[in-house]
Amino acid sequence: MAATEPRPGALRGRADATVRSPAGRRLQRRARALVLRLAFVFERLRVGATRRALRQRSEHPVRVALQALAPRPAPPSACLRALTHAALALPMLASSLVQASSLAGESALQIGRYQEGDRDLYGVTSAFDPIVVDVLEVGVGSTFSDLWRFDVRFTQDTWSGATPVAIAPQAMRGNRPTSPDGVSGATPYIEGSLYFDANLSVLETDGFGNWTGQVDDQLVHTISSASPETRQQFEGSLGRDHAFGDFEISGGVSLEPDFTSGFFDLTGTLDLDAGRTTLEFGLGYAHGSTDATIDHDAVPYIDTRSYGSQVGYDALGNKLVTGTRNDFRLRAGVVRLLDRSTRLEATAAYGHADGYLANPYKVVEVAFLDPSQQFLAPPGGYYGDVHALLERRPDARNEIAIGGRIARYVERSDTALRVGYAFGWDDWGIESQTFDFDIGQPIGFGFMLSPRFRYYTQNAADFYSPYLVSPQAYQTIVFDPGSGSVSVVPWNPAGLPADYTSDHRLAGFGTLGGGATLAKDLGRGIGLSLGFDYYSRAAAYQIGGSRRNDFMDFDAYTISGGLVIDLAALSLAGSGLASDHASGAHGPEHAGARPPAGVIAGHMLHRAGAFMLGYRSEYSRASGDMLKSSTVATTPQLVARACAPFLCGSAPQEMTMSMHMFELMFAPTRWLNLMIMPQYVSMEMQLVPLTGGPVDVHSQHAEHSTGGWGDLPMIALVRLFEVDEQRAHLGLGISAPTGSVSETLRLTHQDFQGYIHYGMQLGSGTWDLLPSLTFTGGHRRWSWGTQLDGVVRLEARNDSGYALGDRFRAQLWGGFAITPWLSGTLRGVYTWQDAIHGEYDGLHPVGSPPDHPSNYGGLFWDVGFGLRATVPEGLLRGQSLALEWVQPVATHFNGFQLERVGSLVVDFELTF
Amino acid sequence: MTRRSPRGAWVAVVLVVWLGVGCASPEPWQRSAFARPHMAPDADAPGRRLRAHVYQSREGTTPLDGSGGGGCGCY
Repeated sequence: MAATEPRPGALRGRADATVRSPAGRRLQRRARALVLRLAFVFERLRVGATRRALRQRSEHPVRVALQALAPRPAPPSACLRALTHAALALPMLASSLVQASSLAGESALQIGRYQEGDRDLYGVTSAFDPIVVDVLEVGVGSTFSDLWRFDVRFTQDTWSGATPVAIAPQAMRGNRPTSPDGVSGATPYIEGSLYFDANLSVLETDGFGNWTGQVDDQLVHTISSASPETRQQFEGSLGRDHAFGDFEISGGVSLEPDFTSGFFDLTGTLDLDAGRTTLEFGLGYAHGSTDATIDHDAVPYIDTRSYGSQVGYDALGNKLVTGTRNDFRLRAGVVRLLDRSTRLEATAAYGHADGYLANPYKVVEVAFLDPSQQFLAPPGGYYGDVHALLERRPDARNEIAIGGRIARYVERSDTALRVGYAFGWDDWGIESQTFDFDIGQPIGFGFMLSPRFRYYTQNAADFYSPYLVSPQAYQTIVFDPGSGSVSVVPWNPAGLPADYTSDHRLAGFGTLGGGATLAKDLGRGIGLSLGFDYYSRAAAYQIGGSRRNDFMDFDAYTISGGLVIDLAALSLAGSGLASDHASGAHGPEHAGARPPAGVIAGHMLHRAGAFMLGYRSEYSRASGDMLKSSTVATTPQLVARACAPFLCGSAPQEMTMSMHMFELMFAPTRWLNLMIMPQYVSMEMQLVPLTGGPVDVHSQHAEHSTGGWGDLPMIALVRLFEVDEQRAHLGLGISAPTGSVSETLRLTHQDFQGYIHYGMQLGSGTWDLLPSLTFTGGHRRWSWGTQLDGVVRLEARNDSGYALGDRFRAQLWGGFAITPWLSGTLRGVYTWQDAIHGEYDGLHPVGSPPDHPSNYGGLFWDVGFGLRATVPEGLLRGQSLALEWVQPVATHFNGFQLERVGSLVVDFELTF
Repeated sequence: MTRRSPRGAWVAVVLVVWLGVGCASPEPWQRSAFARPHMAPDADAPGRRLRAHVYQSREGTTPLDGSGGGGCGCY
């Protein structure tokens, strides 16, 4: 370093020492923000001579400024150094360990799928598909007022498939291996018999369950099926940068049918030594409530005494396990810059949990050696009467984890290397170690390849056991000669450990994982990524592990795709964000010139080459009375006529539908726009039994849910005419049948129940034509529009044997710009929807009105009340956010259907 | 079962931090490497969240960066 260079630490120290009052601090922050902006402007001017360099810059302005200030042959000027120093005073050294759990301050869309492979059931082929989880994440984040930032994020997981419910010796044949073809497909056995020799080694059994005399110590998972479920998580954060660091508060809720949690986190950083060292802290709290319904098929076979006080029944008689838990988490860390290219992070965390910490869907097999049944035992051995006990875990858990990570930049190859290690232990007896390694390597043309590797090992919890043996009777019948009464005395808890689990996650094992992400920087703050990860769990990977646990081995893969938008970079890079709507060829449009949120394909881009990214979310709810056409149907009507020629046993009480649609629009020319709109849908329905109706599957399973990717509409919009603000365009689209039409009721029943309701399938299953004609106009602060659109099924039946009805819709709307940035809209909608043609060609229940194809469609009149805000200035200038509540006005259903409540539509569009 | 003492891990972390503090840290204008997008601590944040969720659902310990949310993971 040159001797004449200023000492930034001294400069900063003087500033901090002289500015003590709140007003002074505000001035200081503003000054710092101004200096930061000047740094950016300075950098822009300096590199402005090379337009190519400008186009390639898409990083955050702070990073852009820093890149420009990299060591150069000529020594930096004093001005430049001062600006650099000011920029570096901003906190940006938070460790990846903390950042991973916080919200990143950028807008992102990510989809992913986790898919497990088949479990080894040792000669039995499971008919249950391996577990699969579809993940959708949508987040919007940005900065405002220079120092503040916010994020809101929505995450949705939908999972289904096979999951282990217990572990049992293979000789118990819990996966129904007594079937002639060795295929397991029905309810697994979690009760049964075991035969032991004198050493309590399990004896082999033949296909009829009789012991053969040979020892068979092979263990195997008992596989059941997880009912399809959807979890939704909403979270948000608010952060602020300070002169000495930053501070963030975040929180959210996670909602799923059997578990609800609320959580919040406080995190902060403190910069020391001119930013060379950053201290971090974090404090988190979560409260969760379990409300789990035990599978009614398994209820008679699961002993719930271990949580007797927390077991109850709901109004329908379903057995519930309830409980609450609290989780506290403290984190502290330090980040240190070791040299020009090396960053060191060290973090320690302490966690405490108390309450109901068990898994309500896992049982432990216990072989009761009932003395009165030993006449069934093999010579010199024992007979075990096996029962399934709900697992029991301690009511509290304390965890400590420490870890470190080194990140190093290799300038010669422009490579980032990261190596991390973490060690964790808890008072359940689990110790774990994690080693991970990843590389970030630009490979040219704006692509970044990031391969990674991870190794994890843990030993088993103290109370883990694949199964238990207890030398007592499961229950004893006692006759009291005095009173003549007979009583049943259950097993004695003293004959079992205080806690027990056979959850495979608390066993000893190791995992190896590897994968890579390929990211493409599209410039202007927009990036795409595609990721793949392979994950393998094996007993052999555990340090000091035993191959006896290799029956739990499995592998899985995760694929993901993401779109990340840095709004700050998008704006500050001069991308022309909002250049289409806000400053198109026809001058600025006010907020009312756009259609209401519920109108799809209602406008076109006006500039050739423009892109639009849109996100539309619709939440619809039906609840209340069952209607016959437009009048309330009586229960006898529903029972006798709604499922004709069968009798209805239940009827919907409430149904909700959520749709997340992503709109990608591109204008190759001014007169032609192309749109593609992938959508993710999820539905839930609650049913109630009908008095006087037969008992059907819905009476016992009162809740259904489905979720996943729906159909894929692709639309071409053609401009017909344009005179002043009066415009018309024609839409011609097609919908690809990417949504599933083979969703079924849960497989784990005594009998396979077949397809779920038609309305809960995820798509139409047919190729559909989507024609539309739209007219929009405006004058001064007023705007109006009308659209005619339809859905024409191009196939008579889908793969499941039916076709949804065609649809025609006419709508008319008007808008008034209350202010230049806010408008109100009013929309009238008429919809005709035909009934379903055909019916399922496979097994399906007809026990409730939605099971019958005639109970779909009708005539509907709706009114929409909307607001649309268009950002007039600043970072998001010209972008719009619209809300609309669609209120049903008149309804004429085909057949018997559940009364509509309404829909809420949210639409956000980003044009650039 | 023989347990690994946590003391060694603590010592290792303290030692690494102490060594880090002892190093000659770069001046502000010497930190361009840390501004590279692939050196950012939160690089590929959405992907990391997805992978962390998988680990949290399939392993027995809470990750070092674990926080609230994430659901039951009972499957």
